[in-house]
Amino acid sequence: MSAPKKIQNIVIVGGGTAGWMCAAGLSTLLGETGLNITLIESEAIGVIGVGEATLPHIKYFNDAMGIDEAEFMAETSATYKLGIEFVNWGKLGDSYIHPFGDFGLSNNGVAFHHYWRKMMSDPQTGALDQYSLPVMACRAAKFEPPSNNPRSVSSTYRYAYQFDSLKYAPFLRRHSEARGVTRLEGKVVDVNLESATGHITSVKLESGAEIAGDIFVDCTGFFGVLIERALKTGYESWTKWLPCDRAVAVPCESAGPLLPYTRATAEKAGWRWRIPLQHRTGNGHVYASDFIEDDDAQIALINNLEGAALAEPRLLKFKTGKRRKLWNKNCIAIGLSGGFLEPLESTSIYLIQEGITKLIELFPQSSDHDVYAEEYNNLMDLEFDRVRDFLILHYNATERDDSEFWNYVRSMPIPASLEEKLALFKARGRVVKYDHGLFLTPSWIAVYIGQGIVPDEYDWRVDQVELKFIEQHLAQMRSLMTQTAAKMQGHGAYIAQHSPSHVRL
Amino acid sequence: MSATHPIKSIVIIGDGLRASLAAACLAARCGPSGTRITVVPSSEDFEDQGEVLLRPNIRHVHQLLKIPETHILQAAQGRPLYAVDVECETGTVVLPFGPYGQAYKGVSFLHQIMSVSHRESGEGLRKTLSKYNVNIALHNMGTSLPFIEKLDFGYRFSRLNYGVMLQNFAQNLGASFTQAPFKAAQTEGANHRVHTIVTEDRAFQVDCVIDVRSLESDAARGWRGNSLYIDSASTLPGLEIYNLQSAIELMSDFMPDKRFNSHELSEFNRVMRIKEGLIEDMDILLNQGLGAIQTRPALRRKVNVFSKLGRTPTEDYEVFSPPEWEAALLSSGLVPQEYSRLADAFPADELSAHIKSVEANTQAVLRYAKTQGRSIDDQ
Repeated sequence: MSAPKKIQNIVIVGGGTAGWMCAAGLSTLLGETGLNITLIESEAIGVIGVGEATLPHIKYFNDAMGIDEAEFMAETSATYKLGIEFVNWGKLGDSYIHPFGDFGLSNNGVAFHHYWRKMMSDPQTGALDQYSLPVMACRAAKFEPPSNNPRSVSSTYRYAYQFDSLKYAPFLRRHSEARGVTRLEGKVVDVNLESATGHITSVKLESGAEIAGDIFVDCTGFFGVLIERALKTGYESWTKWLPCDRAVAVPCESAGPLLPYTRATAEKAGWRWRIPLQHRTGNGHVYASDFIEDDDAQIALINNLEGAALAEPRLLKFKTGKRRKLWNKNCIAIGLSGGFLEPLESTSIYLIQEGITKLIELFPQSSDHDVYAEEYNNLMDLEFDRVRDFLILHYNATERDDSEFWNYVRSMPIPASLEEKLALFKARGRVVKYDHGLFLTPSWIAVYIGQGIVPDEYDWRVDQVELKFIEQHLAQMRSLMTQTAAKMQGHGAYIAQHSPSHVRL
Repeated sequence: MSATHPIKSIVIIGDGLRASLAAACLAARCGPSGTRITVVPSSEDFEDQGEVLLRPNIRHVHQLLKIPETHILQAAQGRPLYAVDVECETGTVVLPFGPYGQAYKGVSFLHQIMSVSHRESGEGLRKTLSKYNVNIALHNMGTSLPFIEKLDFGYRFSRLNYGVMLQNFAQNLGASFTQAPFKAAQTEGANHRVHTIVTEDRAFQVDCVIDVRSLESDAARGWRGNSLYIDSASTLPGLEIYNLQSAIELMSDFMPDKRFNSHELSEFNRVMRIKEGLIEDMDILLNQGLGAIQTRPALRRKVNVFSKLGRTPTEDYEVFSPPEWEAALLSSGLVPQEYSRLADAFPADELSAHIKSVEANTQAVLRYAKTQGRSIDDQ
């Protein structure tokens, strides 16, 4: 057996969001360690460009890259995002927002939603939404960055971006190339494996050039050129829980005020997204092809556009799930090549970012990296599993019975891990807590309550607080949220002042 | 709407500090009124003796009870606890509550040292690192030390005085302590739900029982029916009260009602089993060595990742801090084979200067401690 070889050359196959985020991350944080980073992409291969909507974590990534926020927003025609609105999910006519922030304040060690649960039948109490500043800001189309003062109600939220991912990749390309990343134009036509270990030694381009490397990152999207075609890693399908397998996407002209949130509207056999950018609105329809024809799905999308379509609708096919190993041999799959979870909670770019962050943290010194791979897979599997459960909740927790699709997802068996979480919340509003994983307690509460999972009872300690005090407390909180949101600047006006897009239609 | 099945009566069976801590926490968490908390001793002649070691998270209890730290220190003859000694077959292992050195531009201190000194033997690396751990340095001074707020520390208290102080707090919050010891628990139903606790001189109707006595076996631990059995004993120092505290805090988070929902019970038991498993992992690592890790997935993961990468992965509901795991792993003779390549990216002078500044900071803290502290013998 040959001695371990020092890792010096890393080859990223595939541009797009995943590829260039990876190149930016590696070159910024590991670039000074003597690593040679090469990215191969082909202009002949289209970019999927999913994940225009993000989670607040993207700001940490951009900050770590040293990216100026105003410049990034202007370049990618980005808008701010304070949450995600879900329409028609629990039942037809419903609407709730999953905010990037807290609901109310706990009192005497009892979480706020127990007080709300006690008072919910009082008409004055209103929806849980009213006790969240980011939700109130969303409803009023307002935005301001959060305060650094932890005593201020304006410190109770975070924000993300909605941006044109087709422009994010070129933006990061400039950043990466300035930090020494070599870009090669070309299409990978073959992958060479070492016979003894099965590791990838090089990739062959259409031009005949062979690009050797020590570590390969597969960012080839659904193709999985390295991780699947070459290494035959295998795929764990989750379609029995998340049956949507297609999406049709089309941008349209903007209409109405610029909203600081993404909207996901449930349809007969899936859901539609609406993502407002500065220069256009991104739209798509994610659906299950077992329950609706492609043409009908497209019609449902087109009929609901708020402005004129700006391109022909584009069809995407996918299978929800994850590679059996995201790091296999000397190949790490990041982005769609690693797995796909529908962008219902804007997790696509988050999962790319987590893949990159963990790769940097666990970047090996030598070719003897089995332990690194095992640990990476442990960490990423947990991320995927916990996001998966959260997504399934949206489909399963519904009263909808107006289509075969909803009858299926409402009554399907769900993972035991989610079943237990649901039962616990339904009984008395308890949320399972854990240290690792993306979605924290406020997110679970937002979706449970938003989708009609109202606890049968609340914490009995709430009854020890005088009713008059609770009424006053809730009224003050509603007023505080409403007034604070009203004082914020309009979202569109804030962007126009701070980071207007370079793009004009 | 009202919650329909509030707990009106909790009886805690047990003695001394354990019972007082449970009573104080529950009295604070159950609210100012409505729930009667009664402590029934298990024996008439129990008396707490010696010292109790408390991990840093005990400060959550003090915050909950709104006890000023200065008051506790006076009342309980308190001293700070910056680390604990674990006596093993191979000698004494010091588990520090605070970190080794300081990370520098994303590189952990362990990796900095490895980069500068390259490969040292396990013992050599452990000794080198210990010089840069303020907690270990203070712990080794063996004197009565000042409380340095920026550091992670727990407490070393007189068990008796601390217990009495907590009893007073519990009583001020409405808890009562009986003189007559426990005699019997009367149960009903298939799940042996306790409805009455009988002492030598009276009987209490109860909704919930918290039993903090020692149990005959670990399997008896947990939440069953309307009773929570917390045998918090541990062979590792500082964990007796930690175990009790974490069980009471978790129970308070769920705060069951009289029907004791089965999902809440199973979630409580699930989390506590995980925590027990993590404590067992540490015990096995320190006392049985690396040969015993194969049947312990979380421990095996820590050992494998640390020995290769010099990182310490964490699980959900971790009990021990990363520096404690690092100390235990190093004491097992493990030396990371590799370290982050970022460490080698710095000019050697830059990294050495940072390491020297950490050493200087450590020495400055020790000098401060010497001027502020008094030796134990002086007290």
